[in-house]
Amino acid sequence: MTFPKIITFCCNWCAYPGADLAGISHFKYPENARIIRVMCSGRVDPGLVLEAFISGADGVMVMGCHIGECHYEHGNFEAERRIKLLQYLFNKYGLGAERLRIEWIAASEGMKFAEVTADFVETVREIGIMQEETTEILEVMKDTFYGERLRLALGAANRALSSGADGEKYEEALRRIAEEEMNKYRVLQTLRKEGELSARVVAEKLGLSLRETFNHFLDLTREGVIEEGEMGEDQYIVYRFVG
Amino acid sequence: MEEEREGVAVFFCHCDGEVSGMVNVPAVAKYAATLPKVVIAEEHEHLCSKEGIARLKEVLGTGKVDRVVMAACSPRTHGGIFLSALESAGINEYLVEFANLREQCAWVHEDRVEATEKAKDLVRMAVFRVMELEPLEKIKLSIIPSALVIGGGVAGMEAALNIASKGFKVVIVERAEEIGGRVRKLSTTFPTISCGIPCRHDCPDCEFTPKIEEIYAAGNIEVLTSAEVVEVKGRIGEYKVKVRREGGDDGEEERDLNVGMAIIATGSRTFDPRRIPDYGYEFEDVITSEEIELMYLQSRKGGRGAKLLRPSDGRVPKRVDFIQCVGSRGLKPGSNPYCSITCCLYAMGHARAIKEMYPDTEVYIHYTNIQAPYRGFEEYYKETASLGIKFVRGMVEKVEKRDGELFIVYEDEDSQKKEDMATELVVLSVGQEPSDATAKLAEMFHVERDIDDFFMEVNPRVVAEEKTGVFIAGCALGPRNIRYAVADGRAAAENAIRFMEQGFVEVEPVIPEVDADKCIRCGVCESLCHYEGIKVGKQEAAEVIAALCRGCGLCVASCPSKALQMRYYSDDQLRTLFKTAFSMPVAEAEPERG
Amino acid sequence: MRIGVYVCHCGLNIEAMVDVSGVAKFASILPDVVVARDYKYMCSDPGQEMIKKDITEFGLDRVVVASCSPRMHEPTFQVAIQEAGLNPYCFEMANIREHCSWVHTDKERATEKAEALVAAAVFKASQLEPLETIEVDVTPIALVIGAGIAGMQAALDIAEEGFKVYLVEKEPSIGGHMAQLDKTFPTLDCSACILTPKMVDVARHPNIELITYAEVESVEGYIGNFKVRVRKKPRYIDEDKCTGCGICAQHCPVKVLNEFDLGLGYRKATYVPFPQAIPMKYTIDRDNCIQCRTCENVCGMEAVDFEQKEEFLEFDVGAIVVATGYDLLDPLKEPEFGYELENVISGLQFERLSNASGPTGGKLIINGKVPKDVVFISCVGSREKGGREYCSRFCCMYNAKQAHLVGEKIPDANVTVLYSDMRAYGEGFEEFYNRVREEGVRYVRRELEDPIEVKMMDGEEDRVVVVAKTENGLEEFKSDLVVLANAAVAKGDADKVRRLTSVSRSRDGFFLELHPKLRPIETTVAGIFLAGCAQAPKDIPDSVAQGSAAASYVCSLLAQKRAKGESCISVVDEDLCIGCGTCVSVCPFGAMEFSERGTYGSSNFRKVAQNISALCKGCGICGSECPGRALNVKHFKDEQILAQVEGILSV
Repeated sequence: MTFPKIITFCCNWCAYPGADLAGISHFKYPENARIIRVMCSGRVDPGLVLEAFISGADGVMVMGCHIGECHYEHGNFEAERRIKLLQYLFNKYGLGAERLRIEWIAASEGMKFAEVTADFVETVREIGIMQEETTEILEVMKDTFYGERLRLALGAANRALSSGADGEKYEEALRRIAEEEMNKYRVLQTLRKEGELSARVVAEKLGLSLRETFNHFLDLTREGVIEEGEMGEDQYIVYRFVG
Repeated sequence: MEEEREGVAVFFCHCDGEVSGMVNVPAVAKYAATLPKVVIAEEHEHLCSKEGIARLKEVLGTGKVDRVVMAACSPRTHGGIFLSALESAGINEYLVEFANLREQCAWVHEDRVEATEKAKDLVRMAVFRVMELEPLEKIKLSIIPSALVIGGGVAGMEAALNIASKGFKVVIVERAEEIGGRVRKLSTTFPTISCGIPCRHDCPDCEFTPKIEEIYAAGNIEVLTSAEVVEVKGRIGEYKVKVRREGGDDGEEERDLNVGMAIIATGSRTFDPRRIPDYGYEFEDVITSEEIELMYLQSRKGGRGAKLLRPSDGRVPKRVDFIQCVGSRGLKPGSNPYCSITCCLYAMGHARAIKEMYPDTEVYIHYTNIQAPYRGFEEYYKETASLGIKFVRGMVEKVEKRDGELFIVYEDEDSQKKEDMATELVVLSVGQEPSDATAKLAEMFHVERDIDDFFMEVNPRVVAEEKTGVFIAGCALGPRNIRYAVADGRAAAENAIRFMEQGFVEVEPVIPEVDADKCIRCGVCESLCHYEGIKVGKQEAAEVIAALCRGCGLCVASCPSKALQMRYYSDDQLRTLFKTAFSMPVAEAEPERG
Repeated sequence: MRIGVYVCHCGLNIEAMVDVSGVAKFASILPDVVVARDYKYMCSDPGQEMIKKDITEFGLDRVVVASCSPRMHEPTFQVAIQEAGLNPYCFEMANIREHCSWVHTDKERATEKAEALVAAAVFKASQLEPLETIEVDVTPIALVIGAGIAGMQAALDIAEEGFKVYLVEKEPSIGGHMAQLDKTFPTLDCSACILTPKMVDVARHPNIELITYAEVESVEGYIGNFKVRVRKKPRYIDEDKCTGCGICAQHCPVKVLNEFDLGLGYRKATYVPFPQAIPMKYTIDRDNCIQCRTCENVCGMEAVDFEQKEEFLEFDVGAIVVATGYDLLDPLKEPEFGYELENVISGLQFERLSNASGPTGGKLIINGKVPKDVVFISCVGSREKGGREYCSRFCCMYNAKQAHLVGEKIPDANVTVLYSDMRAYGEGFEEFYNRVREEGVRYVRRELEDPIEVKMMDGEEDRVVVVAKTENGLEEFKSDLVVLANAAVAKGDADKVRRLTSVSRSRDGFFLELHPKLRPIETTVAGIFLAGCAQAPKDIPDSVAQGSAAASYVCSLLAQKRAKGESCISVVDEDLCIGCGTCVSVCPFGAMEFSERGTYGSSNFRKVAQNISALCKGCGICGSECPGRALNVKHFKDEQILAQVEGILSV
């Protein structure tokens, strides 16, 4: 079994040729990384990154052209924004932000490609295997990053910033929205997994406040993915997953 | 029969031991044969060779497969060769996947066992992905048979004349009041043939330097002077260009042009020596190489032959110092980092002319490196030195005036001395930098710029990557001599002509597809697309403009409602890769989703 | 000068403490006094007749009445002497009731003081001058500030009378607090059901120009002639284009706690406060908007306009109704009530929970739990001695209504109301209270001064305990839900409105009516009227009634077409004026300006102050600041005041 399992997304214009150059120059690096070629690092959907982890990757690296040299002008900016947000959440949920890396590799930087790959393999090796138990939170994160709300905020960042929004405040809003959505999907996941539960039980399980939990219940009911059931003995209404 | 062509052929290349030296190719091929849908797993010593290609076609000729995995080198190396071979064997080029066993495996690993295992993984990934692919057809776009040439210098004129000679209409847009470009500012003092290049070699290229009269004589070239491109819309083959021109009723008029191709030949701008105060440009007797040309031109107007007189007192200077690399090669703060290429040559030309006119005048050339690698140049350089012109290697510290006299303070590396000498005339060999319009035009036509902010040189042979129909020529690409600028103009014209003669262009079908039902019209895709390749209507779903889309996939990864999917790089196609990267895919029930 | 003096007994009100006939006798010997009499009720018809008759018989040219406060009957006597042919300003009053008989205990000394007051009045009377009564045109248009139920009612009534009304509302929708309520007491009508038709009427009325999401920026002028400037805040959505379809809010990624639901639910950064809002136009909350501009793109009507700027509207009105409503006290300011706990809510939050358009769709679920033990606590922040001393008036009854609703929605719930005094003062209120008690709601009485504490129960995070000293001693009430009847307080921007309109505020911060009993609608500023809770907490019918009342005041003013202006205004003695401009800078009403005399450039050229009579309110600040003593307020001139002083000291 290969350990650590590394997925490296390479853009077609800088990073992939960089990897080729590493080969042409016979710079050696560990066997662990598998390169997936995309036209631009901006093509890397954060949801796919999470799916790669769910599929068993221990580390994911996105490699693109240097900032300012993106073949498509600004795809790498978007890639960076997404990876930074993912790293923030990985850190917050104890998954290890270091499992995710974004690197700029020019077509001429074969050596850098080899070095960065070797270093990343080592880093992830030290953090250790992505444990089976993390799948749950990764699934929630995947739902969050495939959900319209966060995707809108992420996708529109460039538009907002170019029309004068404050960069730092926007990042903050992104993190806040991501966290809110994470909690909502955690609530949903709990209900999906366990069937009927009350806000009290879910709040306890997830360590959320009752009010926040119940507000997610209300939201999810409005979205039609859960529905209100009977009142339990503890006076709490149970809600169930309906899909 | 279509139904019979179902399955995957995997071709392995040993690359003459380059791959097989580190990877046990037969073992990997054996493994590949066990993978689902794999019908053929064939090894070859050298796939890209004539024999290899022949074998490829022979095997595919059996008609058993519709999809191919090339387990060989990087697709960037021989991808094109393989693809055309496969296409001629009836394989859709978008049903081909590469497993890069050379650059990404054999050449970068040291453990044969590990490398072989990884090679199996790479082949498995490729096999599973190729099964996910869908056949695609190139998108054909029509081309308007006319071209726009921006900039009427030698490169632009040459391009225009060439295109016009093929019968296509050309419009030249020139910012100055007259076409001709920088060449018009050069004197013909030196005995060169018509072009003004200050070299003494009767370079045959120069005979081909285009002339202003030829442009006006050609019937199908329209010249718009005092004009600038202000807006560009459209795509390769169909550009709508707005040109603003001085003149007309309101002192300004606008013209809308419809052209199929565009050639940018906007030249370069001369470095302004005021940016480096050390060189003393504020003194009257410190002039630039451009100004010395002007002096020659003006003095010739009287018909008395060229003269070189000091601006301050109209006297023939007893000593002239040329300073090289002014504003170039990062020599002083404020300089550009690159070499301006032409200056060594013209400085020598000027120096020789001075020496010829006034044998008693001492001429110095201050340089750090002489850089002009042209045919015949070395001989010219040696000859120049033999004429008594003094080449001083070393930095010029400063030019200053003391008691009304001009002094030049410099270092002589050969004698290892610092000199402080009175001089009578200093000529600054100023370099070149991107012209003012460069950034705006690059933005309007979506063409890239290089590290020095000139337009990026693109190999025009890589037609597959050609999505703009915009070609660059001359100093817009960076400083160059006239003969090369002329050659550029010709090459750019050839490219444009090739497209226009063909009448259409095929562009990559690797573009997003829109699921109109999912699209919420949020406009994120449009806001992110640098190329205006996707548009969202007020009531209608997003629409991809195939001609403008560059296929980067940024919009796809950012689409909030997941209404976009990328052809050839769809989520499923990418997902397959990481799901099979380390093991066979786990058969999983589709989880219930909210 | 021929002065008549009339001393009133006011029944026994004055007579008991002041020797009125002695005062009359004293007055009769004062200079210029021709006749002096005393009478039981001077304000009665015979009393007035007596004065009129004397004016004719004795040829009086000045009249002094010594009776009650001029704020009571000055206009009465002014009209009387006017009927007898005298200028109404040739009249002076000595307040020997409020300022004398009612406040002293020694008859002899009180009489002496009364004499001094009468002497002052007589001395001043001899200096009085007849003044012209100024009349002004009235712009027949009204402004109503605030579109809650009181403002809406006022606007509708005025509009029905055929006058144009500008109705300015600060929030994106009209409706006010009533739009937030569930059922109304004691009839249990659904609040929205009775309110929304009225909202629609307001929006559709041809005479009402509704200006929402706007604030009055300035009010200038005087009765009949107010110039109003309104700032219309940018919604960033073009009201003309927005169809209210809501697609913008559907996709807006920003969630914000909904103020309308008092934080119990969320709204988006692009929002309407509630589904029945009027106008049904979305607003972008730019404080929370992240500028993703999704709304702009998804809107098929191209209604989103991020470049929208605030607009200023200016118009003239003849009368103004202030109906700016009230706020509710932040219960966190009374920390003992445990409002920070998740299952302690305010009364208004209960309304949102119980409301079908609220966050839970009208189900009484608190944080996912159906509460079984519910405690209502009344007088949270009201009736505090030495503090917020007033009663918020509607809490007792909504407590009762909410207690009833709990029983209706959760039949096995145990409901307790901790109250101090039950104030069931309206029609059907007492009956409703009795009914609720009969339904099983337990009313427990406690003294407001007695300690009370609401805290989380040990070990049970979703329950709280109320520990209170009650009529039964120290009691603990374990509960799933505690509802606090927090006090109604003056609107947060009441001081801004005060500055704009010059309408005074009471000690409690609410706007002050002209007289608590007899003139509850008018204010100290002529032409400006009050309606609804801006004046004091009141329930819906009272608010509606006051709205209608204000409307009738407005209508009668607008219908008159002319209104009385101020006569006691400042006047400039140009000979004394040195043109220093002090008065121009000190006048709070902008009523002083410079005027040029002579020819510019010549030696006789100079600038002098000039009074703009329409703007002058007669305060006299200019006069007392004037270095050249060139300014005097008519009827309160220096010599008149000095004569008054002289009169007092002469006794």
